[in-house]
Amino acid sequence: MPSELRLVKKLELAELTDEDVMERCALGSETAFRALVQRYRSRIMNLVCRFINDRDRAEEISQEVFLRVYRNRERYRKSGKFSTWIFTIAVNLTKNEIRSRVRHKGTFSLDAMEEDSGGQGLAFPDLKPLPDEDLNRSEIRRRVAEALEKIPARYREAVVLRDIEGLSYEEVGEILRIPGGTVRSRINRARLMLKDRLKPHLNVEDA
Amino acid sequence: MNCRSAEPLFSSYIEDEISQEERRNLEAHFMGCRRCSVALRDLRATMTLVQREVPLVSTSAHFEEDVYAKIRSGEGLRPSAWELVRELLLPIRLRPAVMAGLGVSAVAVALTFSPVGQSLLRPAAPLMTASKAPSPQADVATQPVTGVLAPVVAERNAPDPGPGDLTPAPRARQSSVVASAGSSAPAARDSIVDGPAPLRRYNDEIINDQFYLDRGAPGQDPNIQPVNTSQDDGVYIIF
Repeated sequence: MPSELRLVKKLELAELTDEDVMERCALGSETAFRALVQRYRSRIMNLVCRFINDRDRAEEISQEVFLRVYRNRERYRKSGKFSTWIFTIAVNLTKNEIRSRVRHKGTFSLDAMEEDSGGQGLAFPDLKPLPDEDLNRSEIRRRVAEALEKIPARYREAVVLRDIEGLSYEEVGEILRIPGGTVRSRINRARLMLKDRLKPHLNVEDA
Repeated sequence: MNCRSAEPLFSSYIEDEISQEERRNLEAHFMGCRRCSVALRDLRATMTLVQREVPLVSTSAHFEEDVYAKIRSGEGLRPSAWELVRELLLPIRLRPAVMAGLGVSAVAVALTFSPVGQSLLRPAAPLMTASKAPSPQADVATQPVTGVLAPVVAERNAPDPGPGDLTPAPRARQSSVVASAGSSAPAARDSIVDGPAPLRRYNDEIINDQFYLDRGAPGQDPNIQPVNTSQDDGVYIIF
């Protein structure tokens, strides 16, 4: 009987929106908090990983994101989207990490170097383009990751939130605290940069 | 529309987030510009590639347990320094007027304690006493007081706090240097300290630190007068 009850509870939680689950979490439900961790851990981890080139540190920061959600659960207002809230926390923590790395130059990071260089991007030489047939899928993924890594952070964060996380322009603007026009401009610019870097691997037929 | 103005609209066009007019103009441009139509095609392909092929990182197996363990141990529940600051400032942040007031107060305090501020707010120590001029208290009370020196005057108008007071007057009375307020002395400062002095006072001439020449009223003979160093009727002339 207790196990049936637990099953019913889990089912209910799974059907709830993020905002409803967070509301339960704010009321003290540990189960609701666990559900949020399960829903978002992968997205947060990937988001952080795309900004800092250090998997272990990215995992620590991702954990800190959830700890902050827990600590500030009573501050959450259901009127706002939960995804916007948690992504804002993640982006802010990641930016803090980048600033910290710039201050303590001992740690190497593409982002930190880029920030240090005034956001002008890194002048790393491009990899030699290889014919598509020579690239397996993992190689293409590596190239995509590299292309993302090499565009300036302010463009990368916008395009990651929009094209990979699937957030709306309004949410991206809210998270990055920039106006809508700037969001659109940065996303378009980021895509054009990615196009130039990934052109050899695009699967298009010449018109 | 040219290529330069078309390019910023590519993403909005793909996502159908432009006006009908922009769409018509852009499509007309694509019809005549192969470079832009190819760029648009490549941009679509890039977006698909990135969304499909972006590598995914998985969390470690103990990710969740680590989070819960930090919560249970209390380690993860300690607010960061920034959170503490935010907690302190949050109520104030909602009241810009309070913040503005605090800012003004901070500037005033900084000005008061900084050497620059002190030089502005406090006149130099009185350097001489003279016996012939009227008592300063009565005159000061009738003078309008404005400007940055107002606090000084208020301080001087206050009742004598008695021995141990750090106002500059006692030091002036002990000073052996004799000087006179010439016509070049700043009028505002002079009026604040001495009030409207009689014209004859300005006829006095310094001889040394013990005597001055009292020219007297028009028509009278000048006399050499000793400087009165008593504490009762000094006039403090400040340079």
